[in-house]
Amino acid sequence: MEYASQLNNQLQNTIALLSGYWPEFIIVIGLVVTLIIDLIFFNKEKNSNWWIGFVNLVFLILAFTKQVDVYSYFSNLGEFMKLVLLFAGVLFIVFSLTQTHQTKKAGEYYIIFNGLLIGALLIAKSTNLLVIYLGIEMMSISAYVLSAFSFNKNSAEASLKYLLFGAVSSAFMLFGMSLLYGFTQTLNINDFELLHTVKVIGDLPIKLAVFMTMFGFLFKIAATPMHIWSPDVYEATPTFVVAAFSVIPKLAVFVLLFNIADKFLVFPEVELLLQFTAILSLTIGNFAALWQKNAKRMLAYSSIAHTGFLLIAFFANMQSFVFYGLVYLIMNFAVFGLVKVVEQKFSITDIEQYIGLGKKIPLIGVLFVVALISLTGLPPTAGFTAKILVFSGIWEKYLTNHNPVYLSLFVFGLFNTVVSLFYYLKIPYFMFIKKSNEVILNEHKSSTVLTYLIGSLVFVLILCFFLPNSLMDMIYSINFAQ
Amino acid sequence: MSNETASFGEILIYLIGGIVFISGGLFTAWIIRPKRPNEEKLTTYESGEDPLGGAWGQVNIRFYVIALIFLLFEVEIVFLFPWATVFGREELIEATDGLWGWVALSEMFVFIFILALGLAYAWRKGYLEWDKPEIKPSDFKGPVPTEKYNAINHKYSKFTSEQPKK
Amino acid sequence: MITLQHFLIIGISLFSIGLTTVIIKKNAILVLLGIELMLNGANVNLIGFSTNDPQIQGQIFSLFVIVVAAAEAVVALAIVVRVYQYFNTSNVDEPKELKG
Repeated sequence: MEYASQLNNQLQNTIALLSGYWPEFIIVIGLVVTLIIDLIFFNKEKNSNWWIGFVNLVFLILAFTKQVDVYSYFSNLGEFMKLVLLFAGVLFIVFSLTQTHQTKKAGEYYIIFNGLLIGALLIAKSTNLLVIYLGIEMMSISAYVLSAFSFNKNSAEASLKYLLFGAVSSAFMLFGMSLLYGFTQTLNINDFELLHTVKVIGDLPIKLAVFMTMFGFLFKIAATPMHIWSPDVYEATPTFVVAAFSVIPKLAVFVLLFNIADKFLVFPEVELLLQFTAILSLTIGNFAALWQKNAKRMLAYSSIAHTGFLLIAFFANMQSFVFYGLVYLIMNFAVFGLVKVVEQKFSITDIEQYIGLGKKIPLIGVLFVVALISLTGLPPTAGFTAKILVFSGIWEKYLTNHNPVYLSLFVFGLFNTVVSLFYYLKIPYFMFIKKSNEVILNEHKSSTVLTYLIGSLVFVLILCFFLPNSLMDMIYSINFAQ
Repeated sequence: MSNETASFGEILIYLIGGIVFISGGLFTAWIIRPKRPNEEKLTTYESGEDPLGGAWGQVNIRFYVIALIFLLFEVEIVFLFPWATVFGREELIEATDGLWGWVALSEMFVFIFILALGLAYAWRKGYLEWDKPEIKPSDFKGPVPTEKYNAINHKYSKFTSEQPKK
Repeated sequence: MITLQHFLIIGISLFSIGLTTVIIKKNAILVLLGIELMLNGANVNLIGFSTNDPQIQGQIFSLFVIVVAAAEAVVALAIVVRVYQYFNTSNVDEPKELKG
């Protein structure tokens, strides 16, 4: 009966641990409640966006406050990033609530987004391969569906491409995971003793397994060899969803990379692969963005380049990564929100059509300029502070270990910051400077609430430049030793 | 012989037995049945319907939606089987003071509830209904008046009494 | 005697056949079939490896993979139907609206 008493202990343990999962539970409950409300009250073509979104928002805020408690108890990186992810979720829903026109299938929109969020939270929290796999699949299946939510030709094509690439990459990842399980006989990453197994079976199969697993992870953060899906998806997907896509999966998978780093990066080849990916993402992202005509497509390449920066921050230190991730979240939501405002007002997304908009909508124009300056990484915005932190971190790393790869990361990062200036300033150039014949654009109503929201985000960006202390205090409250 | 091969031997016996029974039955029937074929008897059996077209004909897309929903719910049974083998074990329930039973039961109830919610979604949103295609009346106006068309249609229709039956 | 090697050979064969299908076929449905084969190759691996594991975690993992594969297939087929409605084809290389 030894097994049975062991089972009793395990059960008690599991039930005790469940209290750490309250945020996830609340989101699941919110999902179910939203679905039931949608089924009971909104069957016909009523405009259900506001009500359903509001109910969902209440649950998300509840989960956020619960997560604050959980974080104050554990206070490690995973829990902090869950806080950040939930914040991004709240921001997404608040943004979506401002959609004034009739949204098709509003219930499904919020429900599937909740699925994406739960997947991301599981990835950030877990160190078990099974749960990581389930989280990644949950996140990506929701993402495939959400990317078809424009309900037009482009959207269908984009979601097909996303799905095929994503499914193949997750199949690779699964195969790698199965090999890792075979070599180590455990699914828990903390129990992995790869170095120990290397002696028995040689390091080539293990490296292969690690590479295959990494393939799936890198796909989800759209790092360069696996980035081809992202411009198409970003162009065709609803703009708010793109803002969520560019932040939530990326940050979640980066936390996962931190969790597995000390086990997987024992092989210098794997480390080199990641560093090479960082340089490649930066260069290809920035140079491809130079000749984009569509604003959303350009921002897609910009977010690929930012993946490269986040990878550099990953190699620098955790503090700079967290700072960069937070600032990246705010910048991306602000800039995609602005793209959406222009899209709502004039139904245009091409950069060349932005001509002369600076005079018509000066407030939006100014906000655009600040957000794009922050994305470039120039003062007086938080983007500058974040880049300074990353570069100083990587420089310190170089001084301690004298690895030329770190130096090249530093150099490529600086060089690409200069390149990015050219395409980011294209939008302000067209809005303010370039003279044109008066083009008459049909003007629609756009949400003023959305503009104020974006304004406050941009204000936070400037505030974090002048007073970074409160943010830094928050970041230093994380227990990085784990 | 190793254990695994022995257990596959049992499967082999089942296979051989199955083949013998089926072929024996068919063979006996073939010997004792009268052979008087006609056209109706020789057609493919499709539950009383007359077969139309070849076997490679395209299937209506609406079957697809039903199939998708079926697939989703059918695969979930994979969790029910392992659960059913451990759920009711008395020694586990006794060793844990009944906690095991409650935890297992509530887990499965949550699971089934969410599945049922999915079915309710499909039902409520009308994906289980066989919706009829909308036939849009054409707004085309040709030089020939509609009555003439109708007259011709009527004349060559096979249900009219003027046409001789083949 | 069925050893771990047999499992691994079947697993990697299924995976390679699936990958080849994904690469050389144009029809989206066939590509999805290939992806399904790849997932099942990984499944065979997981089950084979779990023969030495008293906790049979690999088998449990494979159950979850089956369900995830079904969910993925449902979403994929729905998207393929949607693409067929717009482009009148289910070949993966024919939709070419997005470029740049």
